Amino acid sequence: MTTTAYDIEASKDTLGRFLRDEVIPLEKEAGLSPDVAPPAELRRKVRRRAHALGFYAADMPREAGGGGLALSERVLLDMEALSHETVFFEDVMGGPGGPSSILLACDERQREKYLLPLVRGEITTCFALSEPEAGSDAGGLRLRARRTNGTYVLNGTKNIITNAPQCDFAMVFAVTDEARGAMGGITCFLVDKGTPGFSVGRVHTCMGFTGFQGELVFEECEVPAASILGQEGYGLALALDWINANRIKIGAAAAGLSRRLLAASTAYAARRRQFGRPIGDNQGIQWKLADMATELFAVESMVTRVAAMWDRKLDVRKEAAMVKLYASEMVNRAAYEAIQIHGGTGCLLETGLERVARMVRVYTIVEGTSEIQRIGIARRLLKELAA
Amino acid sequence: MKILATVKRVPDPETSIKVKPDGSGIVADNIKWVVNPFDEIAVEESLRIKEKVAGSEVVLVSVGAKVAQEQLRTGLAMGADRAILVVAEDGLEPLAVARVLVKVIESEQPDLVVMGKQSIDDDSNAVGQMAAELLGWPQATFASKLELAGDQKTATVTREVDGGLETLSFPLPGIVTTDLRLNEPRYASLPGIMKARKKELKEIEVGALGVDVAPKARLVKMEPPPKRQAGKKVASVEELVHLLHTEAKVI
Ligand SMILES: Cc1cc2nc3c(=O)[nH]c(=O)nc-3n(C[C@H](O)[C@H](O)[C@H](O)COP(=O)(O)OP(=O)(O)OC[C@H]3O[C@@H](n4cnc5c(N)ncnc54)[C@H](O)[C@@H]3O)c2cc1C
Repeated sequence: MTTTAYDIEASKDTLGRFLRDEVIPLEKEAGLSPDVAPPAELRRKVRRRAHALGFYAADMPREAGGGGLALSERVLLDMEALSHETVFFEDVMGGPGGPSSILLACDERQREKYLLPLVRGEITTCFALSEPEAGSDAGGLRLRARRTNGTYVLNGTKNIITNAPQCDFAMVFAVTDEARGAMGGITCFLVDKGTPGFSVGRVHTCMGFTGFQGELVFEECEVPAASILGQEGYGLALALDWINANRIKIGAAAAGLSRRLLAASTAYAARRRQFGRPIGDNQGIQWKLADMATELFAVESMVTRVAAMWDRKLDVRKEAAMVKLYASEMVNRAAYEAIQIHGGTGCLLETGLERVARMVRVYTIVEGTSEIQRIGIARRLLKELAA
Repeated sequence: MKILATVKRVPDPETSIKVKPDGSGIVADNIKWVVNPFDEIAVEESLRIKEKVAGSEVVLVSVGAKVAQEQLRTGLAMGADRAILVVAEDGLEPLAVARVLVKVIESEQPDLVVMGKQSIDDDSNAVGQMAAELLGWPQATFASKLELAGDQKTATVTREVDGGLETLSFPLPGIVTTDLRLNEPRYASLPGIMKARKKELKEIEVGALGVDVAPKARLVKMEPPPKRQAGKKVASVEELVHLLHTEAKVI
């Protein structure tokens, strides 16, 4: 069943109204800071409502309780959502703590316990891959899962994990076979908060985000073999497939934020007068606007095209890396120039621009740094040549 | 119970409206179109009745250009069961619309018709009243509350009138027009939008209804309202009072 352009327009409309009339007023009323993780009960409230309206888990399959939208449809909603300013973005559309296609690998028991309540917004998770000693090099994980009779014992630490402080259960990537390492030696475990030996370590204060990221500490944490997601040794394979969709979603988020930056900058350039005329009359400012708009258009085009390729089940490893690389760097340029166009006013918190600038900084780092994307793109080029 | 709710396609009240240079109308390109907000309230009220009275059906009707399908789809996505679009040229006069509605009402035979008290484009505030008169049905306009008797044979409506509230009770079928405070309309949810695609949307050519829709008035000219002057800050109450006397001449 394909969605028509009108359906998507209507959905974007509802999304905009929901954000404007419910979510943002809720945020104002509770006096929330845009940088700080909101109280858990408010986040749950927004998630439940967003799920009822069909936004949360919009692109999860219907059988799992999701909205069944194609990625190419979901990214349009992401772009719309991020053109509004709200700290609840991930509770509206779902983020690292929300429904994840990795969990489609759940078995029957895991599905009831984790996947379905997660899709309904009742519980949250986290994607725990990075460690103090292993970031870009996921093959270098140290967190060990030692096999005993019928159970596994986890030892090690994860850090800078989004939603670690709040999650109800964690997707923990652990080494089950040191000799194999990245090639079949890493397994994903679903571990409940409250399991003895599993605790939240430091909660990080991070550029643009406070209280969202944290450490997970495992000390002789024993979990049953039934907590393995999919099969032993297939952890990275699960993650690497899903990460392509996530990279495309980062592109959509970057586009949505850039729309906001461009709209604010254009309006300001027309309004602000210096030397007796609007600053937008100067070519120096016009060129900035033109470049922002052109790059935004490029990213919107890339995102929708690659998302459509993903929907057709094509191999998008190279293209998803390109989207992530270009979009994450583009939105950082746009944030820089938006503040430049606004002058000192742009540095004031009330314009919301410095907030965007801080929040998008991480876009060139998470889900693979820009350097790692370039390596991936180039490797595929060379491989394609060799093939 | 069968409830008929009207839906008109109007420019989004949030968009800025520009008058065509020749004054013949508004610039229709590039503006966003929505369901008339009072009609949205009418759809919501109908849906609330449907949720209370088992076996009810909500039928939407719009009179206008083919594109009004979009607004009917929105109403279907909110939860209405089916829709009828009487395809006619936009801008029919209230009496013409009322006559068309009467035809639809005669063939559908609803127990209750809920309409917006006015559409926010032309602000005529006339169609509901005219349709009730043509049908010889009771009417209650500007409803801020609507209650049905247990047997659904009578309706009790609280109306917002100058200086207070008026409560009317009348036998059904009848026509109710909605005021702003009647309810807060729900959004068309994503699942609702997907379901709406499979619902019936019937089109009828206005010509097939055999009613006189010829205009009785001629639009002479549209003009934008005068541009508002920029505001002024005053330093003291004395200065304010002085300026209200001498400049604004309002006191
Ligand atoms: C806000 C935030 C949220 C996060 N959320 C999560 C989460 O939910 N789950 C999770 O698992 N992780 C998360 N992370 C961690 C993130 O995934 C890592 O920071 C990222 O993968 C980079 O790893 P690193 O920080 O260890 O940098 P490093 O890998 O140490 O890299 C340092 C620098 O060296 C460069 N570099 C590394 N290798 C090469 C190479 N071969 N060639 C060229 N340059 C290279 C990198 O590009 C980078 O510039 C989050 C981080 C932040 C800041």
